[in-house]
Amino acid sequence: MSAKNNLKDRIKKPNATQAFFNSYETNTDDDSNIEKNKNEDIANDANKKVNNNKAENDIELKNVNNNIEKTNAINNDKTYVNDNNVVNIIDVDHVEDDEYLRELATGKKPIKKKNKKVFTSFYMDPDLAVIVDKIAARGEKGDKSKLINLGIRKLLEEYGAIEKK
Amino acid sequence: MTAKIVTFGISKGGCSKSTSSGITSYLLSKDERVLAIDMDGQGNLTSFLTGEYDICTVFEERTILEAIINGDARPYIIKINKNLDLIPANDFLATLPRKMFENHLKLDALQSALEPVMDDYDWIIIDTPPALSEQTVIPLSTYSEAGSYAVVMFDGSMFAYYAIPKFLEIIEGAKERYNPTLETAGILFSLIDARAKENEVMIEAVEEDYPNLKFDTIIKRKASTRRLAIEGFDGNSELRNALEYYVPFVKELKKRVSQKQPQGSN
Repeated sequence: MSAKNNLKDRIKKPNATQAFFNSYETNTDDDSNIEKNKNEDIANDANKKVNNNKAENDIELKNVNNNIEKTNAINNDKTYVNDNNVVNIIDVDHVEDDEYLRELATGKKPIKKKNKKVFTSFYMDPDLAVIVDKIAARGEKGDKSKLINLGIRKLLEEYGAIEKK
Repeated sequence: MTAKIVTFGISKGGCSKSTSSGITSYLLSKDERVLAIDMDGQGNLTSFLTGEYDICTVFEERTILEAIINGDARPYIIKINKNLDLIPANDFLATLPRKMFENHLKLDALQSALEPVMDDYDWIIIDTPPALSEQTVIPLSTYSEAGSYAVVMFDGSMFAYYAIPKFLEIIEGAKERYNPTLETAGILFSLIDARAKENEVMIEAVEEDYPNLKFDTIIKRKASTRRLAIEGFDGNSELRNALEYYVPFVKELKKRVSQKQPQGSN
């Protein structure tokens, strides 16, 4: 934006027309953002391949993958679960979750456990969503997340993406 | 000789932008070389001049969208008659903003595309959509040595009355940033109902608000004009009747844009 227009905008709040033209005068920043976004996309694609060999009791999961969300949005056969994306570090004791969920699934009264979780978003197959909801309804708040985490954890262990405990 | 550019616009639909730009193109092409450009994804000007309504199929990837993105209008010009050419549009023009962003194009993108053909025509007549968007702004941002003008359409309604200053703001913005020679040729009344009692008040209001901008000619909408989209121009037995108000308008337009300092405050 020219110095003159910049000064004018500071004096007088731009209307829609001025805002439109101004948006084209900030293209330099936008261009760099495109490159930045491209790099982020590449990094996210790499994450999608699940090539993470890190294995510890406590796993750090970072999940801010807009691309996954966009791809999933096209799939009408899926059930949208959550629209919140928050970067966080979580603490998961999958052994405890396993025992807890086993008790929950078999109708036994589970021992209450509480772990930190991170909000994320994904689409589920409708049949899975129904059964997961049914199971979670028997338990308490957060049980659905525990079940999903356990399922994914087991799958990733099987794939060798994370180390088995 | 370089083409004069005339862009028809207003930020309200149904004000006869496509009909007026189409008929103006047709009338000008009687004696001069005209390139009509459809910048509205609805493609009404395209259908009006070609008689084609399946525009997405017939003009697939042969539209103003591709001309702008590829930076050269020449491969996308189609001949309507001896002196009249058209660059069509279809619904895919909706992707223009995204494609401009991807290709790092700015609001002078149409100028780059038209540069190779600017000397081939006497007039470039452009139809725009009723919105503040790239499709509206880039024609206004297109410079010509011979002059670049905007015709503001007005249908006599309150909605259009309040759309006039918005469109004049767009003209001012384009003039200030991209096209310093851009001028407002005038405000053209195209009345939906010529007998409506508020017409007189509207005419007075516009004349007070925008002195000298209103064209003397007032288009009164007629069924025969509307039927041009069905019957076409060639061999149309009611053509004279259909063009009754447009003939004096085009005469007035030519007079206005040949003045060194056209009408209005711009």
